[in-house]
Amino acid sequence: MSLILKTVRTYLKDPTTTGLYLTLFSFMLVFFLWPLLAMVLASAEGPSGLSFSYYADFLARKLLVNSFWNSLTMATISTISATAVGFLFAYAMTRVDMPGKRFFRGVVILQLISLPFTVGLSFMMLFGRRGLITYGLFGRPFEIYGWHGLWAVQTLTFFPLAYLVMVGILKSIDPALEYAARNLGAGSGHVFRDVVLPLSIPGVASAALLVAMNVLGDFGNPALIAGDFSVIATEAYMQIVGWGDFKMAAVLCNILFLPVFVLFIAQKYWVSRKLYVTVTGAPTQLEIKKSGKLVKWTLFFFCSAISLVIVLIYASIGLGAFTKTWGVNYSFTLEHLQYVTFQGIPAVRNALIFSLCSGFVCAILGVLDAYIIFRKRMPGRQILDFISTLPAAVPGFLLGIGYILSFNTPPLVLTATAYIIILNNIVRDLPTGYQAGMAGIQQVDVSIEEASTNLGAGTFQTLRNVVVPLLKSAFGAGFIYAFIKCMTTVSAVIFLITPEWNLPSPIILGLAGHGYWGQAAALSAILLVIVVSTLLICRVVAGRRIQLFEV
Amino acid sequence: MHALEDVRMKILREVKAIAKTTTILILVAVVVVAAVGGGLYYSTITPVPTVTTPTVTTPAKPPKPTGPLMVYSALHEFEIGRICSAFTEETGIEAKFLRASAGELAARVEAEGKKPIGDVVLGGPCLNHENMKAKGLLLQYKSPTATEIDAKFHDKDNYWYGFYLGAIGFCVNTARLKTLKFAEPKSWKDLLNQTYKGEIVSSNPATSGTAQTIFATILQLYGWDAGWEYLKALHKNVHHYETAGAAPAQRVGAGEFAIGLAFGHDIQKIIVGGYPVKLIFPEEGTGSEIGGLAIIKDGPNPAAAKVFVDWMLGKKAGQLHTDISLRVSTRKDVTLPLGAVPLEKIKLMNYDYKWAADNMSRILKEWEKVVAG
Repeated sequence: MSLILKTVRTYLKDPTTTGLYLTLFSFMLVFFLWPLLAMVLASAEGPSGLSFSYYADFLARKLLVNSFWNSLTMATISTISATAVGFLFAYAMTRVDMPGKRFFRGVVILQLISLPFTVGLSFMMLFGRRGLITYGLFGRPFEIYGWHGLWAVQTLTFFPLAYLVMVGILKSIDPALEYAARNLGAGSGHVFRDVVLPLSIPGVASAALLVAMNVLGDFGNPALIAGDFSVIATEAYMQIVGWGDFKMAAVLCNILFLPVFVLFIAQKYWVSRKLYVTVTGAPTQLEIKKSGKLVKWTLFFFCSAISLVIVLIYASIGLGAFTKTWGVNYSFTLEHLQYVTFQGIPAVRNALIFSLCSGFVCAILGVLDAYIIFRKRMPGRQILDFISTLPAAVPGFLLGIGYILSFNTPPLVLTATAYIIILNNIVRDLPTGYQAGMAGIQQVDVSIEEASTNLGAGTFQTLRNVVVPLLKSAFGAGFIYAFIKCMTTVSAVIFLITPEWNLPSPIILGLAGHGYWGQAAALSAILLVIVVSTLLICRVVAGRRIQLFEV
Repeated sequence: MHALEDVRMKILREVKAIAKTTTILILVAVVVVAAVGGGLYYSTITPVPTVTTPTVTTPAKPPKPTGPLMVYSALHEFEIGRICSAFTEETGIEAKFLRASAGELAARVEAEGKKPIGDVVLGGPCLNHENMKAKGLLLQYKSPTATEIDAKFHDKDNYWYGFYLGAIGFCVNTARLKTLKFAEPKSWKDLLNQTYKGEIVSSNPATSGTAQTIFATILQLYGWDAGWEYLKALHKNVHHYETAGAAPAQRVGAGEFAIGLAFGHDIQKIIVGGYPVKLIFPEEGTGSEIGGLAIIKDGPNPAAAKVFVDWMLGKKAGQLHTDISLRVSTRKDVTLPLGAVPLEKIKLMNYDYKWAADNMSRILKEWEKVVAG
């Protein structure tokens, strides 16, 4: 009893924090936990009360069960290859003095900010039956559709994620340890095997889990290139769009969410705890030892090969936008651009408005979230921390379907409005804003705020006069990340769009799926130009103050 | 004395703190409620034009319907765009559209339930409109223009109207066939030839009206059991199933595959586009669709929807539609453009769309088993 009173008193003593706390909790409750619950309820609803008949039905339908195993298989192999590529890239960028690092960095960032299914689209154009490379160059029939095509596409799409994580890890390994090992007589290979590798394994695991979660939630690439190899993402979509069966779609999503949830818990509470930080805040004076020529040039060749493929991908998108009929007639034309500018302008306008709104709210909520959780010892902050990072694990389409199910009936009717898309974006990108906020908070020394409190300022004043100004760059970073993600998202919003509120990514997917590659490429190109320009503008305006993509 | 002062100060401080808390919480609550309430209010306003119900005995003329009209259509995106622009030009009613395959639209209308977003369903085989009618999703409306078309193309109870016809054919890329040294398929039976393995593209009956017509055709041509035997055998040769019915023709036109199954008018478009493809109708006979047009019940703008139906069934719209789509109109006074194939020239089987409508969910379930292997 006294504990409750103590808790209540803690809350009442700090009204600003309590207010923020309640706002954040209720926001996440209504717009995140409630749709998740709706998904669970929908799948367990029988003719009379709770029943698992739909799950039994799922097990009886071989096609659906196959799609589950297919999803897991793809998650496994794509994760392994993406993590391996990401590790090699990260190692090459941090510990090898090879030339062209700025170029490689640019390539990786380009891949990070583009549409999630760009690789799938361009692979169809380059390596399809009439692909520029497989048919135009080699004239050989090559089958890109299927799991192997999807594997290659997902590896290329998600290795930058693994790279981002592992660059951070590798950078944080103090070279002093390697010097010590060499002093004791170890050769380069021995040092790598016994010092670098063990220290980076938690980072590798962390990266692998992140990639796996993304692969499981990938919708665009399987829709384009998997052919008849169905995965849960595409099957859930088909259940809704073809059969009108929301319950079975809910079943599929929930079944997929189980392994994803396990991965999330593993990543959050096991792997991240084991991350070895061998560097304290002070920068090290030791330079990383130069690697041998063989290692250096092998890695250089490897990175170049991957980068070449990525450059090809974007070149094909750019080219496809201006060719009349890809695969048949390569004459120059502006008709795709015209068609897309005419039809796609409202959608692009919507995307910009939504992304600006969502990005802004996300950044604010993320910073406040991080502040409350890390600076204020309020009871229940671990729950808020968990809820704030969980959306990253939830597959986009699960949340999209959940939103349709929960916000189609009173008390809160949001379907067919712009709000449902904006709110969905905010919730899905909150982990991004939260992490940006976390990174920012950790750079601000506690003593500054303590000084403010010592001088008599309450939480609100401290927030306003000390924290917010210091966290402006964290806010900026969170905003940009969230903005870019909102512009390119497809998995969730494909269920939420209406003729009134259409978005470019689903349009591109639709065009590509019907074989209108020229138009799909044109709209993709426009979207990419917008996103890249935003990044560049931000770079120019904010300069070094906003740290983005610390690669 | 001091002790009492201290206690009083302490109580005062606590009260002040609590008052401050409550004020802030109330303010936050007010802001949140205002934002949410405002959002809800804004989102629930739908621009529905009110047709005044007259209270006097003399019926007052209803005000001219205004937009926007929401068109759900299975036709090609550019076709719907042209039709909507022409409609707006003539009537002044703004028309917005969403393009999706026939099966997707039917699922969408059903999912929207009592709160439909769409006003009309334009196109797609009438078996879908039949099913929507059976589920109570359509509005009964007797269009005056409908009398200009033969009644056999319409629903007897005035829930949907047929405005075009189409027959299933093979889209064959002659150049690719020559390279691969394959013979041209002339019949349904020919498609089972093992040489065509991996060279046939079809569409997915869960989403595509074209595929639904193909499946219903085969099952009516051969009967249920023999029909499924055929479809299982055909499945071995099919490379993959597209979501949209016209897509197989496009892929074949691009030269990716040798044979595509699609409606004749969609294949004609590829031929007119200059690609090396040929339209072949199977010898045993082929199935045909009546393209349906219906008003969705409880849609946002039924007044404009009725205007649209009346206009779409008229001669001007019919000619425009046939000109841009090469589909055969149900109207006798619409002339076929060069390139369109009149239906009299095709061997049509006795296609029963009612049977197709009644059995489609059964067909889909059986097909899923076939595809799962």
